[in-house]
Amino acid sequence: MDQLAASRANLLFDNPLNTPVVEITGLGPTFQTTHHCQLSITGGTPKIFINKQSVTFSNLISLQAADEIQFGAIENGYRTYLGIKNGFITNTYFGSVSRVAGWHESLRLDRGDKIKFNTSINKVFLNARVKLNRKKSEHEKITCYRGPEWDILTSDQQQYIFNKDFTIQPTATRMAFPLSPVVTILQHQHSLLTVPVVPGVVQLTPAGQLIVLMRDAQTTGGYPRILTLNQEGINQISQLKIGEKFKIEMKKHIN
Amino acid sequence: MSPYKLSINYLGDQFLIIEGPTQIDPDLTDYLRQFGEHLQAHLQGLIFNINLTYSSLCLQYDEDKISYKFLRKKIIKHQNTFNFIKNNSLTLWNIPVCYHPDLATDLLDFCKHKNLPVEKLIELHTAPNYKIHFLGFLPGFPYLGGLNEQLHHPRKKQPRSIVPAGAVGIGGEQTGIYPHASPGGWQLIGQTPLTIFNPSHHPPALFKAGDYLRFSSITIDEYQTLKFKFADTNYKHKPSTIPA
Repeated sequence: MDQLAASRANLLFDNPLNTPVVEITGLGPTFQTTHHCQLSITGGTPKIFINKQSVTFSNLISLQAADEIQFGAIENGYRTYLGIKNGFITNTYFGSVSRVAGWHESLRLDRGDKIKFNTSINKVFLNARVKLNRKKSEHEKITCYRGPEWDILTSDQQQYIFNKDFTIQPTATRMAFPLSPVVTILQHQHSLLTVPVVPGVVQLTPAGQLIVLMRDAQTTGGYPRILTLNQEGINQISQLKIGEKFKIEMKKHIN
Repeated sequence: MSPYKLSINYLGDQFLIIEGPTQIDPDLTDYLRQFGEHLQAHLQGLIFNINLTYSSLCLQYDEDKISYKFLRKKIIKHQNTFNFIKNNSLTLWNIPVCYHPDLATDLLDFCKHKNLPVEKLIELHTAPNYKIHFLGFLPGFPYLGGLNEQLHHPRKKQPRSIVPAGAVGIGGEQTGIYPHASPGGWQLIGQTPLTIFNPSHHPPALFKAGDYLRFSSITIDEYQTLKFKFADTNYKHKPSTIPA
């Protein structure tokens, strides 16, 4: 979801930028490794415990065979990425390792699952410590650009969108982030002949709800596309917690 | 020179939309589909992905290699030299559908709102050869043109979080089939026992943009029998060919 953070997890190992990484959302799991390895950890910063001992956060962590690493609650963000030299080994479907409802047995890793990596090429730099700078403001502003149907809104509706604090609803998935509040002022009667949508498009339903389409979004839709986020905006919003307030700021695209 | 007035717009930092007049016009969708293939062939290495709808073409391009402004200029130039070729024979798929309230959650409400008996809805929905303008929304979902005006009806105000695989729906002026369980905002009026998208098949989608399909009404007992038949991994659903 935060492709900048995911790329950095790979950059630390000189992997191609879209090499498979593990995405942790909100609260982390506990892993045990069979072989020594080094993990890159980017995006939000989780509390880390190795063999139940708290360790200082670093973007590069070394583990010995049989070590247990526990990731706690994520701070300074909501999603954390784990990378490894040459990436995690997993099935691809149509060129992607993302899991899709209806195709995969489960959408996320469950207790008892095993994740493979290439054990023969891991070098462990025991003294390596990396600290990547991560900006996160107190009151987030998400930059959006005018969508194709921005002009169906009245100026009152447009002003409302710029002045309001929005939050991501708990029903958020990798496909879409429905936002709160759902309000009468944003209700409308517009229905489009199906048009293309892409990750970053913000739809407005007739019931008055904004929906931000995310990385696993559908490719077409009929609700008006009133705004769109750039890659940076998608990365930024994917680091907001459920219920965390943010404002929408519109800019003009320059290229 | 293009037979259609097209406009080009920005949709985020990697995407560009080419839009024609807002209408369900089989020739317009065919034109856009062929134009998209033409652009992919002539702008190799610049375009990652093409996404087609009734009257729009969305391109995902490599923003490290070309800016929106320059890609826009190239597309306008290509529009002037590109020639559209019409097909002279068509592929037609027969899709059995059970129009029964036990399988289609919105059927009775839909008929009540439209003031139509279920039998009349079936007659109107099964009459046309629908053109598959494009596949979209989720993998394998066919968007059809040719829905009778009497059956046009708005989408649900809020989408359902789960619609079953094989559900046949109506949204606005459109009708289509959900290829697998997913969220959805259309009115569900029927259910097909056929699997129209299977990730382990090559190609995984049964239909191609430009094909045609026709719905045929089956009873709930026939639905159960066919569901069993179609579930056989060796079963292959075949289309017929008709003149254009």
